[in-house]
Parts: sequence; C-alpha cells; structure tokens
Amino acid sequence: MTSVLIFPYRTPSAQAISEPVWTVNGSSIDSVDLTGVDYYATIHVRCAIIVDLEELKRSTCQQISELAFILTARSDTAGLFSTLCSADVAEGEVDLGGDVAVADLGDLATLQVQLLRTRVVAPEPDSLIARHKGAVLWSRDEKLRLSGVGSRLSVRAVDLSVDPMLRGVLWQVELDRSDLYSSVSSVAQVSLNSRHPELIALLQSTDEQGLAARILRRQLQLDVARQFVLAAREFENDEGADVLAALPYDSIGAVSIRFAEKVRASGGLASRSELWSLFDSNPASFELILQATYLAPALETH
Amino acid sequence: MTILVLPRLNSRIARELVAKRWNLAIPVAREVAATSHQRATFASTGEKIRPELLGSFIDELRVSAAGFGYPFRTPSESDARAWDVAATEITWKYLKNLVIAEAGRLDVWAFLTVVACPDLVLWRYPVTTKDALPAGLEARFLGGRRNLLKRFWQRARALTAVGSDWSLLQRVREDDLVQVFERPSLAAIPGLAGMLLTQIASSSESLSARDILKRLNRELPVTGMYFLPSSELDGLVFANSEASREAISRSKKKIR
Repeated sequence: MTSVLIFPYRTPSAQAISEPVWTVNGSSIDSVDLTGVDYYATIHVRCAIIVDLEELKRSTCQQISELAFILTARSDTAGLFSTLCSADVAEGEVDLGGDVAVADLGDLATLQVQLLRTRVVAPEPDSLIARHKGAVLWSRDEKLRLSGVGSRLSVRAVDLSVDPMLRGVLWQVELDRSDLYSSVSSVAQVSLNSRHPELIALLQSTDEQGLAARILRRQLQLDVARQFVLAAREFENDEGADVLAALPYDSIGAVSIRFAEKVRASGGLASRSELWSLFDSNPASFELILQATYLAPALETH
Repeated sequence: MTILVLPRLNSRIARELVAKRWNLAIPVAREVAATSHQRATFASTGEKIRPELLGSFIDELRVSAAGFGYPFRTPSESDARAWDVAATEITWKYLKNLVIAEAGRLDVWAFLTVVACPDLVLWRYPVTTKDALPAGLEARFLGGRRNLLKRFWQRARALTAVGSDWSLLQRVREDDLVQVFERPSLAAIPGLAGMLLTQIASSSESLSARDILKRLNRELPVTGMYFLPSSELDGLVFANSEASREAISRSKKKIR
C-alpha cells in the first residue's frame, strides 16, 4: 500500500516543478559506478529541476522570495541529516549540488530535495497558505545504495617510516595467514605510507586512464596477488585443496585457493606445483606472468 | 582524518552465538568474552580498532558495573539506571569518533555485545526463565536500537549535541528515554532528542515524552525540521511541550 501525504496548505501543481534529475559524481544515479566508494570518499550529489515560476506562484499563492529549494542527504542506517545546499527559486533550470562524506551516510542513503518556506509571514487573507518557517511545500526522495561497493581489502594511511625496516616504502601489504578460516576482510591490511601524500592522492584520483595511477594500482595488485598465492600454497600444504568446499566462502583459505586457481588457469600452467615452483624460483617472472595473463585483461578494461 | 572501524558480526552468526550464550552463568559468559572472532569482518577502509583498546573499553565497563554488584548481584532498578549513566559516559569516551556510517550498522553493535561483553548484557538484563530465549533479551544482544551499547552511544550523542551533562539521563524517566530514542525519524534531527530531554528534565510538572513526540511526529512530514536553527527548533519543542501540558491538564480536569 502506498501512502499519499496530504499537505494542509496549497502546494505546487504538477506542472510547476519537474521531476528531479539526480546525478552522483557526474553520472546518472541509475548507472553510477561507485566501485571506488569507501569511508574516506566524498561523493558529489547533484539535482536538477525545472521550475515554471508563474505556475508555482499561481498554485501556491506564495511570495517566491520566501521559498527555497534545499538538498539534503540522510543516512538511512544511522539516521542523520546532512544539508548539502540551498538554492533560490527561479524560472527555468535550478541546479543544486553538494559534497557529502560516505562516512556520514553508510550503506543506504536517502537524497532529498524539498521546497521550503524560509521565513514566517504575517497572516494573509488566504488561510490555505503555508506560513510557518520550514513548511514543506514539495518533496522528492531518491535512494542511494553504497553497500558492498568499496574495495575488498582494508586500506589505511599510516606513517610507515617509524619502523626502520619499512623506511622509504610506499605501502605494505599484510595478510595474516595464521588462521586460514578467518574472513579476508579481518586479516588483510594494505597500509599506505602517509609520508607520501602524493601516493594517496594518486590512488584516490578519479583519473582512471592516467598512466601513473594505472602503474601504481597494478603494483599494488601484484603485491596483494603475491600474498594470496602464498596463502593458498600454505593452506594446501597443511590441509589439501579438497577442503575448499568446506571452507567459509569469504575465508582467507577459500579466497586464496580460488585466486591461485584463477592465476594458474590464466597462465596456462599445467599444475599447481608448476605455479608454486615458478614463484619459488623467480618472483620477478611470476610477476611478469601475472601481469601478462591475469591482470592485463582487467587493466585493459579501464 | 583517521576513521575508526570496529569488527562486525553478521546477523546469522550473531543469532547462533546468542542461542549458545543467553543462558550461561555470568562468570562463564565472562570467560567466553573476547575482543576478536574468527568470523568477524571489517569495513573496507579505515583504522581497525586495536584489540587492546577494545579490551580497555569493555574492562572499564566491567569495573564500573562492579560498583553496582557485577557479576554476582543482580542490579536493582536504581543501580541499573546509575550504571547506564556511567556506561554512557565510558562508551562516549571510547567511541565518540565513530563515524555515522559505522555506528549505524547492526553488525558492529552485535559484535560488541555478543562477542566482547555477553556477560554485561546478562548482568544488566538478568534472565528470569531458562526455558527459551526471551525476545527482549535477544534484542539487547543484536544490533538494533535496543542493543545494550548502541543505546548508550545514541544517548551520549544526543546529549553532547546540546552540550548537556550526563546527569540529565538520571533526571528523566526511563520510559521517556525509550520514547525519544526509539523514534529514528526524530532522532535523525541533530539536537532534537537532547532538546526534548532537557525540556522534560527542567519542567517542574510531569511531562510525557510520549505525548510530545506524537505531536512532533505529526509535524515532521510537513516541516523541514533539519532546516530550522537550534533556537527555533528549541522553540518548536517548547511549543509542543506546552500544548502537551495543557492537553494533559484538561484531560485530568475532565476525569475529576
């Protein structure tokens, strides 16, 4: 059952304000790619509407100077409003836009645009005019799902140079392989060296085609790949690959084995032992094979 | 800015663990409590809370509870409320930087209560039957708005939004607190919950949060409350409190 809200005063007719067009990070909200969205990200929300000023005045009997459009975002899981921007009412297209931190939204957000009365007015002959400040005359919502689209691995920025062994490194990839039944997200950690803000800026860059960003991402992927292959080998040594079906899907054991199988298949290697020996004998050539087979097609799609 | 992230326990695993833990003796529940779990997960990005810090948080809650009888004596109603206030302050001390997105997740709070401090849940909400898991107790464990620690965090956030001190929590009835914090649409307006509680606590007459909230709820769809500056929002709460007081007074006269 859908409920219809009846406002206790005059509201704009259907012709006065068009249905809003929503965009997030420059793309239509239906097709927006939020792959890179995580807690540290900020998304840019934009809402465009077309106003027929005469029709708005006629249907609401309001002074236009006392009205404003307000764009807000609300976290549905935690319940908090962020007011992004406001705009005066004007003839033609009205554009509203603002930035909001994903950390303030969570998995599910509601974007909302409303036409509000901005100040109290003296009593008028027409008793059906909204008078109180904040009165909502028109409202439209749009849901935005942000869940499950961030990177799979935990990424943080820390000063790695405090560890003499890590002085000068750009990042560190850690995969705690002590318990291969644990979930990947609880045991994997990518630490970016905060002494290199240019590195973090490059990774956060939206310029997917940029050569520097591509090389950097590729190197990070390789580091992560190496850790997974090591984990897979360790697990198979201990338990044997036949237990894959019994492992939790997101466990480090299951993810590593599936990953290693994928690498092996892509590289045209006949057996697991061939993959292990390749890695043992020459990490550099392992990286080259990985780049040439598994990672290169993925990069080409960018 | 560093974003603090906490372990998460998905609802299926949380329910399985609650089914195993709800009827444990408190000292036994204390023994199984831990700061990590094999099936726990984390947000993709952020600074994972250090297990030692999480341990200190829970230990501080336990030390505080010990002042009210934990673990061997069931707290009286007044002891339970006094501990709630102390625990609210401790929770805020450790988790005030929790981002909204993280604080809104059910699996975050489920981890804290089911894995890290099942003993405190069982002490604060003692089990009266051993036959079946009471639904009310399960809600204290799972991550919803009745979760033991989530309640503390939400209350602390509301009080700090209006610059109030912790004692306010003791000056209003538990029923009023429940009414305020179990209405998420109103709790979404920054400062509104704190203003309402301040109004109730400072009133010499008995005000009912239940009645005032009904009135505010009616206004919510037609008033952009988030748009109002705090002084005007305060005025709105006051006006509705006055209307509620008058309505209750009228109905009392009628009964007489």
